[in-house]
Amino acid sequence: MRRLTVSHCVTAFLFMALLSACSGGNGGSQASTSVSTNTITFSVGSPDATTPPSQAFSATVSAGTIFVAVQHNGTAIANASYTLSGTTVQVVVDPPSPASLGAGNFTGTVTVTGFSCGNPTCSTPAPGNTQIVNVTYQISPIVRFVAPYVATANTAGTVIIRGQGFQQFPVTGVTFGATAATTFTVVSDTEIEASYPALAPGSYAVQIQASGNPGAITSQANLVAVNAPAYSAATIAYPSGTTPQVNELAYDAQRQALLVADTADGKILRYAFNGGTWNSTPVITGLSDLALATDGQHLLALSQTNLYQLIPDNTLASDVTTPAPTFGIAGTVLKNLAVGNDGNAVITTGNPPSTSTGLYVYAACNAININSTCTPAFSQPASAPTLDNATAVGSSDGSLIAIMHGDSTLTSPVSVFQYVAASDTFSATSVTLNQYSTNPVAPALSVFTPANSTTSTTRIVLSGTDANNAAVINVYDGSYNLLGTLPATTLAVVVKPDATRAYTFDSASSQVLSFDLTSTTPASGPLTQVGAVTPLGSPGAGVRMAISPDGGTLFIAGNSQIVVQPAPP
Amino acid sequence: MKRYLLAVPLLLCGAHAWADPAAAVAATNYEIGLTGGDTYVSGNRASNIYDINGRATFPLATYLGAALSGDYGHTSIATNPFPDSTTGGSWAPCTVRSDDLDAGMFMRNPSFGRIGVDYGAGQLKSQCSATFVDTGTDTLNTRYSTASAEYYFSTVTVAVARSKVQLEAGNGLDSDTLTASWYPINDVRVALAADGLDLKDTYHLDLEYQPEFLDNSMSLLLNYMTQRQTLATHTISVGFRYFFGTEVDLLTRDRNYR
Repeated sequence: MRRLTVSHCVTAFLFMALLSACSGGNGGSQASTSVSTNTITFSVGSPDATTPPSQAFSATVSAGTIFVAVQHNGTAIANASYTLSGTTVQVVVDPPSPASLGAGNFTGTVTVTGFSCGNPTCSTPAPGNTQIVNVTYQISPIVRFVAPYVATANTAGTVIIRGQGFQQFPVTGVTFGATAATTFTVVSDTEIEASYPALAPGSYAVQIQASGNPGAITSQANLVAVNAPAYSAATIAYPSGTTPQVNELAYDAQRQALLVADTADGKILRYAFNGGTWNSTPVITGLSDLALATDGQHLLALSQTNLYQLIPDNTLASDVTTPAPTFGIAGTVLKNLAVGNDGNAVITTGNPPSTSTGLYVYAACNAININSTCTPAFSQPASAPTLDNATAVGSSDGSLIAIMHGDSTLTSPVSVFQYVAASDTFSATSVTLNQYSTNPVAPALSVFTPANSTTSTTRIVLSGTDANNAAVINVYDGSYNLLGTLPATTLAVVVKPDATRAYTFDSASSQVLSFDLTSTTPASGPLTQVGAVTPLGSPGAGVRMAISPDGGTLFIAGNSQIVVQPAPP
Repeated sequence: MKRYLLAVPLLLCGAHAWADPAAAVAATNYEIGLTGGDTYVSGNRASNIYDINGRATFPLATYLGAALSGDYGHTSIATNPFPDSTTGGSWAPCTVRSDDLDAGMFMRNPSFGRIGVDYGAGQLKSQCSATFVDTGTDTLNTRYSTASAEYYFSTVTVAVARSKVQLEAGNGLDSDTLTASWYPINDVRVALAADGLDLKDTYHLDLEYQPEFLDNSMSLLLNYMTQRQTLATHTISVGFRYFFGTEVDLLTRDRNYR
C-alpha cells in the first residue's frame, strides 16, 4: 500500500485549481417560481353563510423546471387544484363551508414549488424555491337564540344567549336594541349569560360586539319585553262537545294566547286574550303535543308521525312538516317534546304499555332560515338513551330538560334523565322514579338567574313511584338533592319562573296551593304551604298547569274547562 | 419498454468473458450498490434519497467493453414552506420515484484511458400533487446520452463527460462534468467534480473506500454535492457497493473492470 506523500498533496491542490476553473455555464439551472399574489382572504358573515366563491392565483415557473408541486395545508382550505399551461400554473383555492368550520379566524397555506433535474440523467429532482400563498378565512360569530325570549317589561333580568364563535373573537359588549347589557359573561363558545336593565315593552335585537371582527355580527335573536299581564280570574269553555285529555298547556306571553294539546281528540286549541276576553281561534286536528320554539316564532307540534312548525298566530298555519324518523320497533310513535335554548327540541317516543324506544333531537328552523338554508331533521346523539314512554319538560331559559319514563308494569324505579342544552348531551341523574302511567302529574321545573348574577337556582318537580313503590311528588334542586315533597293529592304542578314557589292544583281542596321552595337544605318531609286560593271554577280531571313569565298568573286546564287564576302569594 | 430492449444485444455480446489485464475489461463483472442520503435546501428543507443500482460490465473485444446498468431511486422531498411558519398540521412529503436503464460501450487502454458513449432511458413518477411540465401528468419519460473520456495518469484520473437528457415532450437538459480522481492508496479514491451548463455551479466530492478486510468485495461510499445557485443545496449520502467475484483493489477495478 502506498503512503500519502507531499507530491500527492500537490496533486490534490492542482485538482482543486482545475475544478475551480470549471463549472459555470449558460443553461437553465435551478427551478425558479413566482406567484401573482401571496395572500388570499375569504370572509363570511356567519357560520350559516353560504360558502364564498373560490379564488385563483397564478404561478410562473422558469424554463428549467421539469415539474411543479402545488400543496396546501390548514383549515382555511378545502382544496387547491391547479392546471398547467406552459410555464404558467393556475391555482384555484376552494374554501370549506362556513358550517363545517364554525366561527373564527382560520388559516391555510398553498405552496408552489418547481423542480429541476438534479443530476445529468435527470433521475433525481432538485427542488427550487417554494412560493407561499397565505390564506386567511374569517367566519364571524352569530347570535342565534336568546332564552327566555320573553322578558317582563320594566323588570331587569338575565337571559342566556346562544350562538357560535363567542370565544373566537373577544366579546366586548352585549346590547339589547340600543340598551347595553348591565353585565355579561361569556360562558362558552356557544353561550353568553347577560343581564338587561328594565326595558320598555317592545322587541330588542340581541347584538354582541367583538373586537377583531369587522362589521356588525349577525343576530337572529330578539328579546321581547311584554307587560306583566293583569288577567282577571276567568274560566274558558272548550268547544261544545269537546272533553279533552290535556297533554300540554302552554302560555304564549308574546301573543297573550293559551295553547292546549288534547290527546283525546288529537288537536290543538288556541285561545287569544283580546279585549278583556279569551277568544277561541282555529282548532288544528291530528296533533298531540306542543311547545313554543326557542325563538318563539314557531309552535312545534307533534302528531304521532310528524313534527310541524306552525305559525303561532291565530292561523296556526303549518310552515314546515318533518316526518318522524323510521323507528325500529313497530307501533312506536312520537310522544312528547320540550325545547332547549340551543334551538333543539328533545322528542320522546312511546310504544305502550312498556317498550324502550329512542330519544331524538330535532334541530328546528328559526324564523330567519326556515325558508332558506334550514333543513330540519331528527337526530340521535350518541348520549341519547332509549326510554320507556318518556315525558320531557324544559325550563323557561331552555338550559335544562328533565326526562322521566317508566310505566306501571315496572317493579323498580328507573333513572330520570336530563338534557343539558349547554353541551347538547343527555345523561342519567341520580334520581330514580317510575313515572305514573295513570293520572300522571307532569314534571315541572324552573332555572332562574337573577339580574346581574351568575348564580342560578334550579327547582325540579318529579312525580312517580319510588323504590318502595310509593307514589311521591318530590322537589329537587339542580344537583338533584331532595328538598321536600308535595301532597299526594296534587293533580298538577307548576314552578314559578323565579323558582321560589311551587303552585299545585289540589284534588282534596280543589284549590291552588302555594309551597315555599326557597329552602336550600336537603329534606325529605313535606314542603311548607304558604298560600292557597280557590279558583273561579273547577278545571275537571287530567289537569295541567302553566304560568306567565312574571309568575303572576296561573293557567289550569282540565277536561272541563280552562281556569285563569292570579297566583297566590 | 424500449430501454429494457437496449440491454438485450449487449448481454448477448458480453455473454462470454475472459481475464485479460490489458483488455478494456479484464473479465465480466457485476456489482450492486445501495446509497441513501439527505439533501438540505438553504439549510432548512430536507429531502431524503435512496437509490439501488446494479451494473454489469463485460468485454466485447480487446479494447472494447460494454456496460449495462439499472437504477431505482426514491426521493422524498419536504414541501413545507421555508421557513415553516404555517399552522394546521404536518406537510406530506412529495415523493418521486425514478428508474432508468443504461447501456454503454467504451474503448479502453488500462494504461492510458477510456472513451465511451452511453444511452439510457428512464422514468420519473411523482407520488404527490405534482405535475410534470412537459406532460401535464404525474409521469415523465426521459432519454439520455452521454459521451465521456478518461485519462489515466499515475494515480490520477481526469474525466470529462457531456450528457444530454431528452424529456418526453422535447425539452432537454445539457450538462458537462469534469472529474478529477485521485488514489492516495490503491483502495481509496477521492474524486472532485464540477458540473456545467444546465447543472452549473454544482460540485461533488466523492470518496470510495474498499477495505481489505472485506476481501476487496465491497466498497464504502461517501458523497457530498453542493449546488450554489439561487438556493444553496447540500446533499450528503453514504452507501456501499458489492462486487461479485472480482477481488481486486479499487484502482485496478476502476481501470480494468468497471
